[in-house]
Amino acid sequence: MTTTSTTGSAGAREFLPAPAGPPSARRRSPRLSLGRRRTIFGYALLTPAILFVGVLIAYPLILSVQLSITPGRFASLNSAGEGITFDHYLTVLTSPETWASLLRTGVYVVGTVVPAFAVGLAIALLLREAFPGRRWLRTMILLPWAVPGVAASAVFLWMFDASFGVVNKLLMHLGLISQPIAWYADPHTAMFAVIVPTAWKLFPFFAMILLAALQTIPGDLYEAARVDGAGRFQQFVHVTWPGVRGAAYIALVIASLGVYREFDFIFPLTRGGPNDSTTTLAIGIYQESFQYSNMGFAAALGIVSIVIAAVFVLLVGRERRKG
Amino acid sequence: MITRSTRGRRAAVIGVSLGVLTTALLSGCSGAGNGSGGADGVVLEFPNFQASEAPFSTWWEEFVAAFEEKYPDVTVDMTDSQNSDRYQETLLTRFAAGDPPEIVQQTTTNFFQLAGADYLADVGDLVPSSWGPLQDTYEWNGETVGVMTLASGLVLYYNEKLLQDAGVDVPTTPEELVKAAEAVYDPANGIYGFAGVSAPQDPKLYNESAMFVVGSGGEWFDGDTPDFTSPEVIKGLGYYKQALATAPPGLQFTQRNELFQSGKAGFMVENANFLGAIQQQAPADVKPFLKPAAVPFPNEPGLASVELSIPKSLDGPTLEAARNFVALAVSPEWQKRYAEVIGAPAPDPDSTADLIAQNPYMELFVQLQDEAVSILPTGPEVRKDFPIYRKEIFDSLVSITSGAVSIEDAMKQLQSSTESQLGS
Repeated sequence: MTTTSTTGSAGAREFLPAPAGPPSARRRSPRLSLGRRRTIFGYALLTPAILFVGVLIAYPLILSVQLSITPGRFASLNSAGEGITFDHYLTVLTSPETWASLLRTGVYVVGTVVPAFAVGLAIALLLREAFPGRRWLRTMILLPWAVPGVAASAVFLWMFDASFGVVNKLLMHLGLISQPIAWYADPHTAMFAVIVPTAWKLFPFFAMILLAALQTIPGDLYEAARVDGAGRFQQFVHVTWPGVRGAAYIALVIASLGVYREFDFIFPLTRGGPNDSTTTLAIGIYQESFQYSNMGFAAALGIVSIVIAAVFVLLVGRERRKG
Repeated sequence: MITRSTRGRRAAVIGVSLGVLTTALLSGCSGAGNGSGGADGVVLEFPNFQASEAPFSTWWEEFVAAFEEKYPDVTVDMTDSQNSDRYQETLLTRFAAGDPPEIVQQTTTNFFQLAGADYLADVGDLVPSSWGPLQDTYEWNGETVGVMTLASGLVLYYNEKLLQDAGVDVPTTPEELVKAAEAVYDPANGIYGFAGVSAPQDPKLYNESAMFVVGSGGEWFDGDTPDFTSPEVIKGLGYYKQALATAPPGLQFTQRNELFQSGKAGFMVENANFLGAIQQQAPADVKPFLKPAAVPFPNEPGLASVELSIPKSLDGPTLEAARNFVALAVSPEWQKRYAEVIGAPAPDPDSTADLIAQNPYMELFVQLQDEAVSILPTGPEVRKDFPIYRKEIFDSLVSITSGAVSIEDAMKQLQSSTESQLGS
């Protein structure tokens, strides 16, 4: 039988043997109060989580900050913390290349997320309807999401191949182009050619999230809208969109951040070229650290990238709250 | 009977124990050994990107077995590492973290990166003095920090049948090369002239363009001074642009090899050891027509392309074992075996003397290697930042070959930007 007490430790004392000696000689019990012990217990349970977070997130972040303020050019982590300077940040912020990379990153993010969202929404609306084979199609639609980026890149590299790719063959067959286009070797077409595979991989994510949101909209609302004389477009504007807006916002933010740091598509396809036309911030960081052994600059660029992403999330969040 | 306080105390003890256990586990993970030693002797970790690439793999397997037989206390852990950006990234990260493999194999362009970071040990006393001038590529701040394991003069491979069909001979001048490539070029039937890479930042882009430049008597850099606007560089790039116009656009080097080996290109340029790949991979009906010749330029361009190094951080028995590994690899016995297996000259020029009679092309390859002028830069500042300058050259080549700017303007711009970076 378990005895409980409503008076905490004082109640528990009733079951303890009486201390020997005069009361004045009694030593104060070293035992902690129950509340204190509970606090310690709580922190003890949190310890593994704190350690994992510390090791996996905080330590690399701290190391990055440390590298970014270490003077000079170096390629060893052992150099971190040898002095303090903000020169790398100054170089990052005053370099036209940083802003050009940021602009390219913006083009890549918008160019990928907008069409992927549009296609994802269209497919979600389609999959909400009942038709034969819907379950099978739902599974098929999700497949691009499961394909590793590097594997998808290899496929698109061949599809967009200048000499033997199906894209050029198709466009030439349709009479849209007269000469094959070197999609990944031409600075004017390379960005488009990396956006296409990225959007292809991303649209199932939107389709999945939006379909889940669509299924939470009560059918009564559509019924009421129809009774009020609303057409398909008005139903979408006044019933469907308000119903999925919250999920769409979250999905857009998550997807944008994912594309913002995307590496798996760009690097295998173009390595940031030609002529830097696909060098986004993520590619720039990789090049500076692993190709040019410029870890301090790369770390500073990485920290600046994190700050930009954080500002983006804050601004979008504020707009969302206003909305 | 258990009181709440007793349960609380027990729970607190369990909780703290869990925390301590987690900490201990994490500490244990981070403190794992690096595998470079042990009770049973020394283990030499050796990531090798030629481990599955025939015919190099044959030589490496034989060599490692012989080394382990000669040094029974040493085990070589040779793993197949693909020669890719990821491999170099892993290597750099391991050096940066103080945990490099004991034997380091890398391409020369990647070698510059690790040598520039002062990660590599001096192995100059292991390299025989008879080795050719391309070994000088691995001199760094007065020390020899790499041993050449693959070097070659560049070779012009041609498709004899396509040349005969087009009514042209094997070219002996750059003008003839361009004309022959244009004569062979028939894209409507899937036949191309010069199979040159043009995919952005493909490493072979550097070799091929440098072949035209160095072959024409120019050089990208004179020591640490940019020399992009010299008449020889401009002339060489003119030939390059004309030849590349007969190649499929956006070609990568793997596609280039396949194109040539399948008999759909008149010419391509590679190292001497590419003949071995042709022998193994080309279709039987095409193989007899694919032949090597000297590149048709006044100068013979070449390069030391792969090397072995030892990390500076090694010491004791591990260092001794690693040095023994390199010493055996450069020994006359194993250099001769290298030439036999690879079918191309080994870095040691003396190793191929007996093989010239057996291999009809060996004499040509030896001659090309002897005469080779390195296409890689020699200036210390340029070599230290070679990936940056190489990328700038790539960017200029893209502008030139796409017709966006003239060769002269692109080179003026490149000259100006590199001069400002080098302070020359």
